[in-house]
Amino acid sequence: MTDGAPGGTADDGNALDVELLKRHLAGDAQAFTEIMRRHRDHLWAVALRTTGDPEDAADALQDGLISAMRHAASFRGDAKLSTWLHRIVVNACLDKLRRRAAHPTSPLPDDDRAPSTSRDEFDDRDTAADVRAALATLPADQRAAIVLVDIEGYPVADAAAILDVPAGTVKSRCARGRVKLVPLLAHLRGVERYPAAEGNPSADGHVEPQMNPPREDPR
Amino acid sequence: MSTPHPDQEALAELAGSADAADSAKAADSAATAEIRAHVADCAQCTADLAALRELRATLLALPPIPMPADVVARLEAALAAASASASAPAAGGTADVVPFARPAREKLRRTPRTREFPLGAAAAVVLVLAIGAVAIGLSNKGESKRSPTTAAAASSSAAASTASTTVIESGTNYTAADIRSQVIGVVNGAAPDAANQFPALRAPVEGGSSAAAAPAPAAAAATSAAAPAASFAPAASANGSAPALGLPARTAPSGPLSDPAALARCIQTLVQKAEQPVLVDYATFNGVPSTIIVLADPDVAGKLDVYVEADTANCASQVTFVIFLPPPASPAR
Repeated sequence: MTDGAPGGTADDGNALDVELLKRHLAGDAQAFTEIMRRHRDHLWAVALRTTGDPEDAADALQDGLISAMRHAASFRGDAKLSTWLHRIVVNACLDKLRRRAAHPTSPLPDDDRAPSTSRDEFDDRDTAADVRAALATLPADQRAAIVLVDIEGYPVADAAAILDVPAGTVKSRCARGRVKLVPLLAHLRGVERYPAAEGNPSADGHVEPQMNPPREDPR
Repeated sequence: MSTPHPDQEALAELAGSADAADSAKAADSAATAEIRAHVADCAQCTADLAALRELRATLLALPPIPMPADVVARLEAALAAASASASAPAAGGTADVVPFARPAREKLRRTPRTREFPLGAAAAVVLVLAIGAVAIGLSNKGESKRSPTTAAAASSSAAASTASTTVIESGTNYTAADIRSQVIGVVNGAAPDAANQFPALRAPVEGGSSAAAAPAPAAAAATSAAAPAASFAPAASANGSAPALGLPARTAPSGPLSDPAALARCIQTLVQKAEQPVLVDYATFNGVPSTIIVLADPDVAGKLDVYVEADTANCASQVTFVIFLPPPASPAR
C-alpha cells in the first residue's frame, strides 16, 4: 500500500521490490511479507473484484502469495515484480472461479450493500457494491481485464502480461465487458443529475443517447 | 452520416484509448480512424462513446479497497508459517529444525547444509520429522538386516504392494511445534496397523500401559489389519495430540495430491524413489491446505519421515527441512 499507482510511474518501487525479493531468496524471513504489504491493497482489490467474494479472494490471495513466495526464484525480472505478483494472484483467482464453476455450491454473491439503501443515496460503498454486482455478470476473462485496465488503471500492456494474453485480447475483452456494463451501471452515471432529455432510441438498437456534459477528469 | 455505425465493441475499444481530440492520430489504425471520423459526425455514436467513457471514468474513480485487517493478519500468518518452515530457528518449539538440501534421506546422515539451493528456499515446504529413531535400541544400520525394525520396514513395503495406505482427512491443523505428537496421534488413530510397526509411536504412555510395553516390532508387524485402533488411542491422548479420536470417516480427499498418480509422483520427487506411504492426511499445516505424507524410512529403523506438502507447491521444493525431535520419553522395557 505504500506503492503508488499500479503499472505506472514508480520504477524505484520496483527496484525496492526486487531488492526485497533478493533478500527473501537470501533467507530474510520478513522480506516477502514486506513485499506483500507493499502491494496488498491493490492485490486485494483485484482479487475481490475478480472473484466477487471476500472468502474466495482471501483464499486465492493466500494460495497465490505462498506460491509466489515459494517460486520466487522463477521471477526473472523481465517484468515488474508487481506485475509478476498480480499475475500469480489473478491466476489463483481464475483457478478459484473455475473450480467453483465446476462445483457450484453457492451462487456468486452479488453484493454486500446495506439492505435498505435506496437508489438515491449513492455513496462510495453503494457504488462499489453495484460495480461488483455488475462485474459478477461478466465472464471471468472479461471481468479480469476490466478490473485490471478500467478499475485498477493498468496499462493494457501490463494487463496483457498479467493475464498472459496478447494486448489485443485484453482490449477486446475490455470492450466486450464495457458494452455489457454500460446499461448495468447507467444509474451511476448521474442520470438524475443530467437527465437525458433528448432520448432518441434508434431503429438499429443503439442505446439511448445521453449527451452528458463532460465531467472533470477523474484522474 | 456517410458510414455505417461501428459496432458497440469497436466504440468500447475506442473508449479505452485517448480522446480523439488530443490523440496522436498517427497511432490509429485505418479502421480506428474511420470510426473516429464516423463518431465525429454521428450524434448517436458520440453519445454511446461518451457513455462508455463515462463508465471508464466511474470505474477508474472507484475508491481503493484496503485489505481488511483480518485478511492482512491471515495472509501474514500464512506467509510467516511458510517462511518459518524455510528458516530453521523460527519453527521453534522443542524441535531441532535443520534445513538441508534434498534428497532428504541421504543428507540426513550428513552435516546439514543450509541454503545449498537458496532459490529453492522459497519453494521449500517439506518437513522431515524423525520420530523416535533413538527409541529403538537396535544395532546400527550395517547389521540391521535381521533386525525387527527392518522386518517392519519390509512389512511396510509389503503393505505397499497391497495398497494399504491409510488416506484420511483428519481435519488436523498441523504445526511445526506439535507435528510430532499430532502425527503420532493420527497414525495411532487412523493407521493402527502402521502404529504397530513403530514402537516409538506407542512408547510414551505415562504409567506404562500394556500397550506401551508392546512386543517387538517383528511380532507387531505380523499383526493383522484388524488390529483395533482403540488400543492405541490412549497413547495418542497421552501425547496431547487432539485429533486421534473421532477421526472422520474417509472422505474424498482434496487438493492436487488427491490423485494417486500425482501423489506417487510427488513421493518419487521427495524421496527419489517410489514408496508407499504409511498414511496420507489431507489436512492443513499452519492453516495452509497441505498434504501430510508419512513414510516409513527404510534406512533408519523405526523412523517415520513426515512430509508436509502444501497443496499449491506441486512438490517442486528443492530444499527440505528436517526436524529432529527429541526421542519420546523412554519406553517401558
